Amino acid sequence: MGKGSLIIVGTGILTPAHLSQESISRIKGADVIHALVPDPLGLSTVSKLNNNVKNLGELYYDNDSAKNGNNRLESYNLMVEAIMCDVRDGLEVCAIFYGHPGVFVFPSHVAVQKAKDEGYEAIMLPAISAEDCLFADLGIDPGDIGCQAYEASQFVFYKHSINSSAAMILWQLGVVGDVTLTKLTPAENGVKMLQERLKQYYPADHLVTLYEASTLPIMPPRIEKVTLSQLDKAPIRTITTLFVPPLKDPILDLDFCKKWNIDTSHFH
Amino acid sequence: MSKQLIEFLTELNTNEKLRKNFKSDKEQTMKKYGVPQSDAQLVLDKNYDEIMKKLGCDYDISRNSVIEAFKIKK
Repeated sequence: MGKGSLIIVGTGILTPAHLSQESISRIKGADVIHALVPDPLGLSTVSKLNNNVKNLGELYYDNDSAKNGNNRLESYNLMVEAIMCDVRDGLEVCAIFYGHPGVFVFPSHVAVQKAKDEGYEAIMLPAISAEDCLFADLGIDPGDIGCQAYEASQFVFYKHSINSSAAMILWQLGVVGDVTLTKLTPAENGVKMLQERLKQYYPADHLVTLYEASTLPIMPPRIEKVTLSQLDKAPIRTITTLFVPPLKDPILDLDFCKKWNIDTSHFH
Repeated sequence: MSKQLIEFLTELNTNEKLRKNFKSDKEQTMKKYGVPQSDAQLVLDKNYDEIMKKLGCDYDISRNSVIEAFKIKK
């Protein structure tokens, strides 16, 4: 029995198209796979690469029973333990998550840290996230105007210094406002709270985009523009993301540029 | 949902020739691949919700993060 190790990979959003060569190689070489993959195309692809697959979906929080803990966080911890059990048994473990395994994925980060803390080799490989798809589908280059991103509930509950001269992406609208970690839909007033918070920074007629990446090769992405005032009427689904374009141009700091002899005559 | 449709969609992701054939003639390409008529019709009708449902897609389990506040308090 070898010394256990852990590698975390992501399927990307569209599997197998988004699966990297490096990830494929690591999946093939693992002793055991732990997969949390929401679509059968992804699961079928992974199973063809390595037939020793354990489905982490079976440990996902189930609102109808207490078998996987009392909330999502507890079920994520069960997943981490399932992964770590095989690592401790001396196996080369590959855990696979949807999208980028380190973006909006709690158990992957915890598993890597735990494995390292216990003296095992553990790494995470990058993959294509929904944000990557958004930039491509909406034709947004975050380098042009700057871009800030928040989880929707965090954006709602906390005071942030929002830069309305840059773009903003809000994630996980599908559970916005839920503090119980037991729901898979927005809280009763979740979208209303989001709307109110956004109106602190943007006018009611500001056009925002509801975005969902394509998850099947036959299907286009959802790109639906609505005004802020229409947001509470728009359908919000599990994978819906909100893109908020900048409201105004940034203000050039003339004093600073002058101090450092920056020629601003050609600046926009 | 048929195994052929899953195979077809998987292949469509990575096979450029199949993608081009599908783009020029969706119906014939699916027929040639062996996708059953009922499944092919859903694709032709662009009935994506039904396709996802029949495929067994469960994007609820793609929600795997919690914000910092919950990590501390729970």
